[in-house]
Amino acid sequence: MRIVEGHRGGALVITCHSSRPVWRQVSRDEEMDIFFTGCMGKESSLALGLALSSSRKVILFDGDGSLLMNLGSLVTIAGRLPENLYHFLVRNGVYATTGGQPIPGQGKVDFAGLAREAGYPRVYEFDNLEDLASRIGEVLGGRGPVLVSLQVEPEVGEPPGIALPRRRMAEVFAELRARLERKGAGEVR
Amino acid sequence: MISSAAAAEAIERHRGDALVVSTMSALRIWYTISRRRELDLDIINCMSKASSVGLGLALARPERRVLVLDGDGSLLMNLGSLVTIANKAPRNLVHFVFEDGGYTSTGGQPLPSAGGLDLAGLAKEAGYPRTYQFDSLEDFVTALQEILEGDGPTFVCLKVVHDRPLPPWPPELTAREAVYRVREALVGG
Repeated sequence: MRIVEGHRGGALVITCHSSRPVWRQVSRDEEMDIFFTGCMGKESSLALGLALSSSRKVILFDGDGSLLMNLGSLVTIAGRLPENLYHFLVRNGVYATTGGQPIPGQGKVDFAGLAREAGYPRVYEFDNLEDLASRIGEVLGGRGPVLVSLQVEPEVGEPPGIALPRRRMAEVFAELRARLERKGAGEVR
Repeated sequence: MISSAAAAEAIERHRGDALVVSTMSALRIWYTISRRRELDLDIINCMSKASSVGLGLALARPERRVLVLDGDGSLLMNLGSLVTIANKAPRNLVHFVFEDGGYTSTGGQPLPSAGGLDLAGLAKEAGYPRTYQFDSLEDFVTALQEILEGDGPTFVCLKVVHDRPLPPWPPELTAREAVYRVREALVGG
């Protein structure tokens, strides 16, 4: 996540579940960060909506368990082809925030292949930091939608002390809209 | 393209004593053709869940073949079930998808895909050991015996057109009533 942070530019960054506490520790532009709570699995659909309605780049940290609950969104995203959407899939193989239950097909499902079949024009897979670091410029410099599958070690449960309170979606969106208006349109995609 | 009614008739001729779980357009065609209605489970009021219900039945009745007659729009709403099914790998499950390219039962809205969606490819990436795709009735009928006799889970994408008017919906049962009807046929009252 630190590697992605170094290349985010003015991008909106969406995190959820396991990626949320980690991203909070590395982000240097909290104004452009969005944490979704209470809409399990729907992060990819929300990211699509934001990408279609904003000229900014949208970086999403999705989870493998989350994506499996909303796998059809891959097809919907590929159908709309948002050029500013960067879909990182953090694959830990478990439902970490609910106790570490294995996801169906743990270790067997080829998410990159699924994204390709769904119609994503660009798909990357990384299982080590060096490769991610050396190609992140290419990943974020090119057009979306792109799926970036990241194999990570599972860390079950949330680190104490940095969990955010649950918030209503309407509040999250109102605050985001205000922040975006303050910041202006940002870079053109 | 295959006539959806002709495809259903071909399946009916080969079904034997298989349980049939069907939904949406496929259901509306199937229930007028089926000669073993006591072994049919209609999925009406739990949109998109035919594949998941079929998986449950196949696991509960491993000695009995289970045929799912799904739709492309339905499957996209429950695409993650492909991974769950492939992971449990029920040998007695055959998953047919009647692909007509739209949400026919709600007015024919097009699917959200980029076009040229390859459902058999998605099933293969999800881990189905056997996948087929047909756009000719003759090819489908020729392969049907092999499809039904082989070990599943098997995925069969049928490119269909509704060349006859779709029959009205069958009498609607609650999910509980539908399940109990099949249960009665299987284990007796």
